[in-house]
Amino acid sequence: MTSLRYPQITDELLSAYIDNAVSDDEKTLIEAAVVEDSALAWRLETLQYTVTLLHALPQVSVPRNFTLSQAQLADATMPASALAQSVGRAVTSPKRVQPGRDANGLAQRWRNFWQIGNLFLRNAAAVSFALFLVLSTSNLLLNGLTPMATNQAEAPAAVSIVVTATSNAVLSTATRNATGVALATTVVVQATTPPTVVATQAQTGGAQKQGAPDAGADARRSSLPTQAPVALLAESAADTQAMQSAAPAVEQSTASQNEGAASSARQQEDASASSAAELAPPAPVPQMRTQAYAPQTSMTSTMMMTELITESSSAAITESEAMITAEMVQSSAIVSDVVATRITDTMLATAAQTSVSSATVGNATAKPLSPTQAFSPLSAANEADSATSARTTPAFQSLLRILQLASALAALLLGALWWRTRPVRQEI
Amino acid sequence: MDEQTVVAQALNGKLNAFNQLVLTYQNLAYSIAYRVLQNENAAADAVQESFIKAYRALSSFQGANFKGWLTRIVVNTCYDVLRVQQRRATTSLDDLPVEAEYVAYLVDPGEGPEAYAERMELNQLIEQGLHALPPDQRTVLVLCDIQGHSYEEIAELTGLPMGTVKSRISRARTRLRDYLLQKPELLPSTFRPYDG
Repeated sequence: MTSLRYPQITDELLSAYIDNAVSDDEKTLIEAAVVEDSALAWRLETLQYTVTLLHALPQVSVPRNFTLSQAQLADATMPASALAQSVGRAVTSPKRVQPGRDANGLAQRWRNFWQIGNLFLRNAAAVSFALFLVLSTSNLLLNGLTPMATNQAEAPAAVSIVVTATSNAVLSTATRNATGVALATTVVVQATTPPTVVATQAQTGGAQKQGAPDAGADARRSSLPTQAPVALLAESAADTQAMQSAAPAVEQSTASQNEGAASSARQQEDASASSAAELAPPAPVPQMRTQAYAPQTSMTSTMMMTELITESSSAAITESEAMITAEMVQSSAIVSDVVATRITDTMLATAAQTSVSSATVGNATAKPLSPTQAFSPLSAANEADSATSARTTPAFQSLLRILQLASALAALLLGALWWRTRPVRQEI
Repeated sequence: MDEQTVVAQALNGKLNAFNQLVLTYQNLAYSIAYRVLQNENAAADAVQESFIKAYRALSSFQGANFKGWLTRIVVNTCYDVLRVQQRRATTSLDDLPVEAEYVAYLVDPGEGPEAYAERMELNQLIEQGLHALPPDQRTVLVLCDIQGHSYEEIAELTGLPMGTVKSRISRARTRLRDYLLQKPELLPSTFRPYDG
């Protein structure tokens, strides 16, 4: 409020005048204005009377004494006081103990930090955060196992190979146990091919499907309309189907050559290489699949060989334990390890070449892959499993992502609400 | 025993010495807390909390003005309580009933019944006017006009700039005056609204 005649004299200036917190010029101006302006005088007088009334307010009496006791200090939610720590040696120790400086004080502060506020909101936020962590971990694991499910829309080929070979220790253990039951060799191959890749595959027909290394080569061209994940899982010890398919090859191999698994592997490698060399020039046959078990994954001959070696070696161990010697088992495992290392390098090169092939095939000019590239045979069952996985995994992962997002939001919201329930403490 | 000696003993960890300081300043602390918080129980809790804080922060006390240091702790504790109350507030302070019970311990037995009734009614009106003020304005008004601190002291106690302290005090006084004018019959004739 200001006066019309003295607009510069505000209530704030009058209030400061009451407290004698104005300059001499302001004081002179106010005293002169009060004489001339009755409204200004009323404002000043009422303000002064208000201050007088406030000064006249009676002092309130304390309802009780506020002296401190050790029990009060101990029961307080704040950190353990210096009193509680130093009361017993107050006389002998003039130096006060700083509260919260030692480990006990820090631990107590940490506990108190979580004990303040609404505990229900705190617990709910913690549960939401834990759920978020679990979902995140699950999502990561799923992505790691089925990368193609998340990359289906991407054209570039992505090839990943997971080869889990039985370690020498397991083999040795199985051999020592003389039962061979626990032996398991697993090869998991996951590969992705671009949607329109036309590639030449070296197929050795049914004989090769059954593991015969020197079966007649059958060049077959296949166009893959869709990109699908392929997972080949051969568990020699547990999967009887794989054993049945691999057993004849092993028998044939072991019957014709008694050089052990290592020499068999070398022979298989040579046979695969020779089969690949006999490939006929590719001709594009788009959108056609000639056989139900036609492969959908471009794999190197090394991969094929690895599968065959693994199947044959493990099947040989389980089928004919009596024929297995310690040298065979060891050499087989060593070969598996070496080939597994080769697979990584070769598949990386395959992925790059497949990408180039994909770009070329886009113009309907099918470009044959190098002879070293060949498709591995896949069973119809594996193909069906892969297709099913490709259909169901994206929906499941979408659900996981939604739950993950919801749990993260819930953790943030509940944490914020819990934080709001905490009393604000101002630094002294 | 002077205050410095008692403070020194309290710094050495003597609880009895600190309790002497408590007894000395508990009226001051409770008066501030009660005027600011306008609630007996909240004020009592704030005072108790303030003394506990003061004891724990005693090692950080540097200087001779223990009263000012303690007052600052009380004001800060009241700010904390006010913040919590504002978070949990479900009703406006202005909606509180105008007629309230007299506080028993405010009664002065040496006064006549009629004068006592008029004074108590006016005091009650002032208390209600204080209650109606925003907490920030009420705090500086209590420190200035009830506790008698200067602008500089209030700025130091509250951590506010001097200009903010001045403006808040001015607005608080003006607002309280306007509140008191709602019941002019309790005020002297000079306090009646100016007709121009």
